[in-house]
Amino acid sequence: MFEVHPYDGKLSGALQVNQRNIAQIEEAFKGKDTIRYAFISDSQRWYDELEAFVVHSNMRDDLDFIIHGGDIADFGLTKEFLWQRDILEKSKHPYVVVIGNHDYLANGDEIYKKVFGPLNFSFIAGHTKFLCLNTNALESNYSESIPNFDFIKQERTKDSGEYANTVVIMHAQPTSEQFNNNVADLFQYSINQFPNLLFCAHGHGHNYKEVDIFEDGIIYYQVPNIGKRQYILYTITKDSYDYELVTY
Amino acid sequence: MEQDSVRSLPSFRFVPSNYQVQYAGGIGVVSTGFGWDYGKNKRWATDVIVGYVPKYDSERMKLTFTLRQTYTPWAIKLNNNNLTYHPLRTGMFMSTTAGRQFWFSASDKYPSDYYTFSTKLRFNIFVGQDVEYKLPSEKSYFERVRFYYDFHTSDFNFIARVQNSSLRDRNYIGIALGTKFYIRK
Repeated sequence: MFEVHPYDGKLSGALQVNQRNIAQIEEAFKGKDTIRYAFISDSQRWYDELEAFVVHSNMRDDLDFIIHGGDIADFGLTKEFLWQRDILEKSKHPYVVVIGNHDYLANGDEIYKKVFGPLNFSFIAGHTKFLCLNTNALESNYSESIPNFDFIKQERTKDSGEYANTVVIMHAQPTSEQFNNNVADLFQYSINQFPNLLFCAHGHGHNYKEVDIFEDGIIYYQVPNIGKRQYILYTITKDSYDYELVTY
Repeated sequence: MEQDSVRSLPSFRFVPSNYQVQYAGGIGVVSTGFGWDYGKNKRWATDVIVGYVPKYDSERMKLTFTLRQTYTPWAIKLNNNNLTYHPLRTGMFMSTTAGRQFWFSASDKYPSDYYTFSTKLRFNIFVGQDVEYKLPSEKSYFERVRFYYDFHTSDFNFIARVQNSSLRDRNYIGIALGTKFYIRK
C-alpha cells in the first residue's frame, strides 16, 4: 500500500530461496539415475507468461525442478524481484534463479543476494553437478571477479566422487558483450576440467540457439525469453542427455 | 536614492507559501519540502521535496530530490469557511535518487541503446484529495494546514501493469499521506 521508493530494498516473504530449494533438490533426487528439468530465462516484465509457465509446469509430473537463467528484474526494482519470486513460489517444483545483467541494475544485485542468494552456486541433482555462474562482467567494472575462477576452482575439488556429470548454467555466454571475453578460453578450459561436462545453457539472447562456441563439442544452448512461452526440457541420464524445446 | 529604487521594485517574494512533510509516496519514508501556490484561486502548486530512504535490506540509505506539480481544480467551502475540501488534486512528480548506483543514462561502456531507461529519474503520476483547515489564531506563523493523500504510480510500475494483467492484484499503486503548512501572508 505504501511504497517508500522503487529501490528501497524493503523485503518481505521468502528469502535465500536458492539455498532452500537446493536442499530440497539434493535431498529428493539423490542418486536418481534420470533427472528432468525445465530451463527458462529472461522473465523480466513478462509476468503473465511466467505465471502461465508455472501453471503449465505444475501440470507436469515428469519434472524434477526448474532452473531460471536470470533477468528476473528489468529495471532492478525491489518489487520486480518480489513479484517474480512470488509467481515462482507457486510452483510445485523446486527452482533456482541465476543472476542476469538486468538483475544488477541500480542496487539489484544487493536484492538478488538477499532474495535468491550468492551470485555463484552449485548443486547436485542425481549424478549431475549444476555449476551456476555469474557471467555479467560488464555490469561490475572489474570490481568483482566475473567469472569467478576461485569459485570454479573450489567447486572442482568439492564433492568429488559424488557426481559423474557436470552442466554449467549462466546468464550471458562467452562471446556475448556481457562476458569477459578476454578470459573466454580460460573459462572453457576451467569448466572442461569437471567430470563429464555435458553442455552449457544460458539465456540473455531471447531466442533459441545451440552453438558449439569453442568447437570442442560442448554445446551452448540459449533458451528463448519467457515472453516467447518456450523453455528447454532437459533429461539427463546416467552419462548423457536429451533435450527438447517446448512451447506452452 | 538607492533605498527608494529598492522600494519601487515589484513586491515579488521568493518566499514559499508553504512547508510540507509527507509519508511514503515513492520518494522516501519521510520527505519534506516547500512549495508555491499560484494561479487563479491558487489552483496550481509547485513543490520542491527532499526525501529520506532508510537502507532496509539494501546496503545504503538514499536521498531523493523531487519536483512536483499539482492541479487542484475545485474548492468546496465548509463550516463557515474554516474548512475547504478539494475533491481532486492531481499532477505529476519527477524524482531523482542520489548515489552512483543510479544513472540518468547508461554509461559509455555499454553498446548503444543497451539500456534505454534511467534508474535515477522517475516520472510519477498521482491523483488524490485534500482538506484544508484554517487555524483559529489571527497571528500564528502558519495560517492554514492542509492534509492530503495521493494514489501514485511510477512510469516503471505503470508499464509493467499495462503489459501484465496478472499484476492486477499487486501493489503497483502506492499511497502517500502528507501535510502542508501555509505561511500567513
